[in-house]
Amino acid sequence: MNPDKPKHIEESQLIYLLIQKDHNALAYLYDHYAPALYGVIKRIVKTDSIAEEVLQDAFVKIWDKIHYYDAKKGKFFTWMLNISRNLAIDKSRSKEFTRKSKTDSIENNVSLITPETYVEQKIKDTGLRDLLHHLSPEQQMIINLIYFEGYTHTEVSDEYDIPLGTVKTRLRSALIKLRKLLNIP
Amino acid sequence: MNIEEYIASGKLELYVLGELSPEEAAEVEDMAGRYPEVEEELLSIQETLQGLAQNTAIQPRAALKDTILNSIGKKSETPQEKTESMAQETLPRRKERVVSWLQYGIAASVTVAMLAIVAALYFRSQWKEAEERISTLLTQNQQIAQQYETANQRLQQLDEALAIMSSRDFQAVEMPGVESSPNSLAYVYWNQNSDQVYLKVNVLPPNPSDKQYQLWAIVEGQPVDAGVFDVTDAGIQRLIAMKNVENASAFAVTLEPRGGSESPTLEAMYVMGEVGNT
Repeated sequence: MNPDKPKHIEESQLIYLLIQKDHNALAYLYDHYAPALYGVIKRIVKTDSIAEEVLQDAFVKIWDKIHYYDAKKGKFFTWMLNISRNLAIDKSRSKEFTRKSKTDSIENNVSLITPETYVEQKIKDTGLRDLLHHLSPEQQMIINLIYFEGYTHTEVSDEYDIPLGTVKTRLRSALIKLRKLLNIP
Repeated sequence: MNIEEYIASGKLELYVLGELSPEEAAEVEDMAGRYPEVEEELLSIQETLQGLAQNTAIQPRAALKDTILNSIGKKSETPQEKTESMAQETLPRRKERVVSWLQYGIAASVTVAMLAIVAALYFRSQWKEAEERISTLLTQNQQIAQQYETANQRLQQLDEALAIMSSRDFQAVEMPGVESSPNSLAYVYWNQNSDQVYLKVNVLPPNPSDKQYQLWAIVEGQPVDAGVFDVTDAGIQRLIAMKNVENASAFAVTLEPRGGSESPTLEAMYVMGEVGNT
């Protein structure tokens, strides 16, 4: 092991090292962010093997495109999160994915799904459920669809027949509540 | 729109999630540059999403780390080398995929092309064969049609002949060979009501090409032309329609120059018969 391996690297320093193609920085990045990104990816694509593939693609992309990251436009994590989410969403909509996990496909009997039954049926993930438990059923549904299923707000509006404005305000109110739950000042 | 309403619209959340169009995103960035409240709200949303992701993190398989880090490349000493090594490590990964697809593509194309050529040659030979068979069949068909036509004509002729020969209206006049040609034989079928005359040649030698046989009717002691005819090697199977004749007492056949003569050459008479009294 490298005795000089840093316990903590400042974000700006980390980005600088990644631009320099420093592999220690890459390993650090993986250790610190892979689980969070993997959690997001896994909830979108469902299958472990596909999630691993997407995580690898995400890290390759982060590594290749690091010089495009613009701190003025958002946090580094947000940038990585969106890369991961987009790759996962693309994968979940690809033919390959549709073939691999037909049984997981989004239910079409939308009319039967109320926020209450939706939450009962869909959120079987305990860690997430504990956290989302504190949200209203409407808020849980919106967070789950947009953040974890990879729906766009217009898709949620179309598929669940909720006005676009309502989708946006519900998403906002859900995030405000989560901020408090997560003790973010 | 005041700034609280703008923040409350939910647009900033969509911006953070990367869901806005480039124009809308530019607008949000512009607002964030002008209003600290907007910038603060954007940061807050990002922290929330990050907190959510970290609180719902899932630890990937331990072995995945090596797989991913190795796929991205090995450690290098200097940034320059690192860039190169990255180019070597990450690009081949993609290149391999491209090359193998390309190879599969080429292999598949070649296979398809070869199969297509083989198929084309096979079908061409099949087609040629079929073409030949069709032309043979068409020829045979034509031949059969001609034979049928011939047979049909022959049948019609025989029907006509039979109708004439068996008719009560037609009188048969036998014309045996004269002294100079004792084997010759011919018949005239004469309808005295309609004056129609048919000739049936049983035995007459084929005529030379510069000559023709001529039938004569003897009317009131005078020979009257009743038409010319040819006899080929095959003989004549049918009844030949000759010129109408009235009041004949006898019929005779002579060999005359082609086209016939005004009066018969008696030395060249082959057959002759008198009309019976019936």
